[in-house]
Amino acid sequence: MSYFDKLMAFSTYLPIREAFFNSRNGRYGADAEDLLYNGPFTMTRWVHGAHIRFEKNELYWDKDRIRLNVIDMPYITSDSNAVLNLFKDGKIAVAGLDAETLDNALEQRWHLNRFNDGSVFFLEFNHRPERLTHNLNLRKALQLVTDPGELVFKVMKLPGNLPGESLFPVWLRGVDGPFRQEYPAPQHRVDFDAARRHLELAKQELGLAEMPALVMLTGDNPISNKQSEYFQNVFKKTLGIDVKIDKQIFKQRLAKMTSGQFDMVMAGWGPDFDDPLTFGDLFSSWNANNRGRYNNPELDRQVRIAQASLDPKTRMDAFAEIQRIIYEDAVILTHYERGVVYVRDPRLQGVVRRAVGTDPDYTNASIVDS
Amino acid sequence: MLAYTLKRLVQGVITVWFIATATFIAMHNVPGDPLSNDKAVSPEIRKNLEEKYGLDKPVMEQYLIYMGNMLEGDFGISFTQQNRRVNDIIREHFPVSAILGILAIVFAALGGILWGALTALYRNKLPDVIIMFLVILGISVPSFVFAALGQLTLVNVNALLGFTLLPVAGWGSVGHMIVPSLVLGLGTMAFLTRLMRSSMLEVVTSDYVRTARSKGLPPTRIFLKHQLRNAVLPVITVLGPSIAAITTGGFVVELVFAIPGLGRYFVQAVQQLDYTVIMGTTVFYGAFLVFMVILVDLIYGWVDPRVRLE
Amino acid sequence: MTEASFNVSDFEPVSGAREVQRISRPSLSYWQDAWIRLKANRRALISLYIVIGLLSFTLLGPLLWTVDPAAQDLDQVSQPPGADRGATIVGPFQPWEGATANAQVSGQEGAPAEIRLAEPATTQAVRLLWDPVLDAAGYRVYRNVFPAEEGRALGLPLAEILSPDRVSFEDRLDLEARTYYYSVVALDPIGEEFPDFTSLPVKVIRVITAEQAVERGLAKPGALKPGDQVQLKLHPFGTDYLGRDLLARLMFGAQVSLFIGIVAPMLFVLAGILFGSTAGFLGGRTDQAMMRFADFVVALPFLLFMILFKIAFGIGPGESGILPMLLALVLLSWPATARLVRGQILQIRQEGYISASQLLGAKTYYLVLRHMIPNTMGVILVTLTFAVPSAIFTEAFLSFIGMGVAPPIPSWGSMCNEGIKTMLSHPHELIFPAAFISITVLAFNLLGDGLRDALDARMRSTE
Repeated sequence: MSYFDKLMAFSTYLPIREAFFNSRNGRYGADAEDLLYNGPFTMTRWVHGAHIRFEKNELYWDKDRIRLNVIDMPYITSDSNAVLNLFKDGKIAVAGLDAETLDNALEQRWHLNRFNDGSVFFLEFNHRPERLTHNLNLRKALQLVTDPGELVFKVMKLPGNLPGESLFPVWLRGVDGPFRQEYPAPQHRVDFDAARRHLELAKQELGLAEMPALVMLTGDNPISNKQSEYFQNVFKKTLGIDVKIDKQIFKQRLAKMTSGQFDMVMAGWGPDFDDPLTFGDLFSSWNANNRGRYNNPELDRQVRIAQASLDPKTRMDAFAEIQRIIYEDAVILTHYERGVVYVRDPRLQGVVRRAVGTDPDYTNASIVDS
Repeated sequence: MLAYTLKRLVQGVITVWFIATATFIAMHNVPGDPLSNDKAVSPEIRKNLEEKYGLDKPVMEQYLIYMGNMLEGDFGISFTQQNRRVNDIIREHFPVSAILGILAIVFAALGGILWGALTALYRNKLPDVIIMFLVILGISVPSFVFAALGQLTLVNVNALLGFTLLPVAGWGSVGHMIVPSLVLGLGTMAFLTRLMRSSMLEVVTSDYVRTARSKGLPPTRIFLKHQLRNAVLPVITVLGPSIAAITTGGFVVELVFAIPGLGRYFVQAVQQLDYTVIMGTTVFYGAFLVFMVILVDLIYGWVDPRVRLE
Repeated sequence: MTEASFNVSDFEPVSGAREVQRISRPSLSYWQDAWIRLKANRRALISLYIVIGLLSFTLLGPLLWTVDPAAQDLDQVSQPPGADRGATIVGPFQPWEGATANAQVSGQEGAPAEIRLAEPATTQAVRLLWDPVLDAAGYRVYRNVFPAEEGRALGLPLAEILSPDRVSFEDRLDLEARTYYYSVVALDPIGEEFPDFTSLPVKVIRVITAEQAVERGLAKPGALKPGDQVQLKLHPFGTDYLGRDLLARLMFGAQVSLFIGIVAPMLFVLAGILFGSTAGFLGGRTDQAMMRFADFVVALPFLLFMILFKIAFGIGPGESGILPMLLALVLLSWPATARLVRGQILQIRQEGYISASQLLGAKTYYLVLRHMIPNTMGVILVTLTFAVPSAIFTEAFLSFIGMGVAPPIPSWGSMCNEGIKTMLSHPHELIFPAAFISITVLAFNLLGDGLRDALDARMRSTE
């Protein structure tokens, strides 16, 4: 297994001490004292939904490197204006921004930071045979009117997001250099006329005079709202397809995805480990997270090659094949690679952000008096 | 009086039982799956989970088990928050919501009675017009706007002063409670002001006030003894349901001010179909509410001797 | 004593005596009298006109202002009313290769010597080129709305270019017709910024392609060539975060908000009056049982029942659930009114005029309708006027969590929900829907006041 070392850094594979787990009587992980720690910080306080406090772990093997004594997270809220206000009031050291609070942050003349968190967001189709979206021409029609550039630059309006061109994000490594430079994503062009031709074909194949409304499952956060309302309008305007937006919170959305109650869904995937396979096997027929039940023996074959081979070139060729199939078969429509914009108190230095593994990483962080 | 209170308490327990049963029935008729998780689960794990939460048993048996546990004061384990007991959730977050709600209602009731009486006395004069304008503003602007504006004002005041006069968000000290409870109580205060004004106007023209005035009683005595005491009755009547509106309507305020109250948990639980949390919080809220209503009725009987508590 | 003799004519009434008793004006019923007094109340009349105005805005407005409330004008996102709409026609967007240079050969130390525009800056794209920097591992590009200052407030971090040889960047992010200040900083191999930076002010002009102009209905096909000027679509009230016309959305939103905001309160207040007056009038055990039932209903979780009704009505995902919302509101919101009315009735039951009326043989329904309800009218109208905004906001909250009106259908409440997020940068998105809610509430308050004064017989003496 060529990616075994990468896999070992994935938190799912970290061991749990059995004796401790059993001693908590089924309450493992319920509160701060129901967890065991061996990292640089230990959680000393956890008021659910309100306050988390980490303190330096004096038993950490490399404790001399740790310069922060306490990391306090006393405010948990999803309200972006509240987060901005707390930062303005000097109560928090790091605050995430969204398109709505960005203008205000600019006026404050703060130094803004950006970071790509490594995840890819896309519209996933339901490939179950009983669904209309099982039809390739329908999916192609929808693909040809999708303009990720317009979505990212005109609708989402947050710097840092990159227009999505492939299931494989730009930061993945290939044989020698970045994967996407070695194997560029298929060229995508918006073409309304071609889209309408595909739609006509789809109607003929499905034996429909009129395309019925499609259900678009989506999350309940502001970005998904904007995104789904934007595409609802695009599909209606260009193809005359009605879209019903089914807004659900995260857990319910996953439940509906698993049981197949959707035609398309606003989904995304973040990397688990640092290898293209973390994205590459997502649409293999056996992957439980392939909730649209896409099933293609050729793609499965390529995934098996990528899993089994030890030769980087063979593996990357397989991923390139997967990249091509995903685009040409319109398995998903990639929308964007997520970026985040945040402000940080200038006194806090050395915080490392990364796409895979612990993020943010405070092991090298320190407070510098300016 | 004591007998009446006891009787009401017994009735209260029966009401709570009805609430629990109705919620249980409603919940089991809502389709959806509380056991879905972010990464897909194998059928074996699913079966284990169903056994753990008793979802594999017939509904009637689940109901009996639930009621039995509830009698022992055990609301079960949350389906969606890792291994957390519903009792812990309620114990941790309910006091927060209750403090916030009670502060808000006290503020709303005092403000409402004061402003309402004032506007009635100055009917159609300048103070009346100004206060009624503010009242209309108070009810027609949604509470989330007030919450956002309140917080913004606080940030600017703190920035202007150069120190933290009142914290912008969070929970813990008295300072944290002031602005959120003001914001939360504002809508109810506007409502009570309006109600008080209306009932005050009716009292002002009533026979006993006219009689009292012609007897030559001093105006302050008439105001306090005759007008205020009679006019305040409708206000007391709605205090009970208002408490419900305030404690359950705290969701937005809790979100904006990052307050760890129960409101956020409840909305989340309904959206996630977290059966045990929905049941626990509903039953608990229900009990709280029924108790408050009884309290209000007792106060009512005490303020208005004509309403005999039989 | 003389025997008096009477004849029939002696018992005839004296002429003219009847005149004293005659009613000189036509008899007025209670309601006729109330109507006259309502008409005399100027504030109530004005509010009546406002209500009529709102209804015609809702029902007739969409016939006059025929803009689709769901149409997205992405050239004019979050535009305030009266913003400049002039745009220049350009050719279609063409991808750009950018530029590369060998930093180790031609680079200089510190910061790029100069930033240039590869072509004129438009809202379609701003294309920047700069001189390479020696020993740079990459570059970071910033954009600001103020000139760059010391202290490195360089603005939005647009991009990070992790290659020393790429010396160009194409900015397409939400470009508006204004002056931007671009800055480029070189990065060292571990991603830290060099101390110096170079800046360039760029004035961006608003452009639109000929195809887009045709698609948006601004011109006929073939009528425009690059360089021509057009006026973008007019949005009298501005646009929202997806460039949708606010005026059209307010009109369509009114249909939902006024329906929920007026029908639901009317129904549940009526239910509350009936329930409360029955309980209060009957008293005793019935009253006790009825009020315990009200307590029970108050405590039921609204959200859960809302979901249940949606399913019972067969409303699928992504469809608007206005009827189940109405039902849930009516079924679960009446107890407050019922309690209030019952309290008033209990009080009125003790009044002397009720006993008098009863002794005179008044029937129950007459007592309730004629004496009790008119006397509780004050509080009833207050609850009614307050139920209007609270129903509108309940709808907003439900839409917010995906249980109310399905997008793209607007409602005033959900427009407020969206507007609050951009309250500071684009206040018009919040102010307009909030103002409409306020006007509605104001109108119903004044109307309620007027009605109360008109219906309350005792008010006659104070006028």
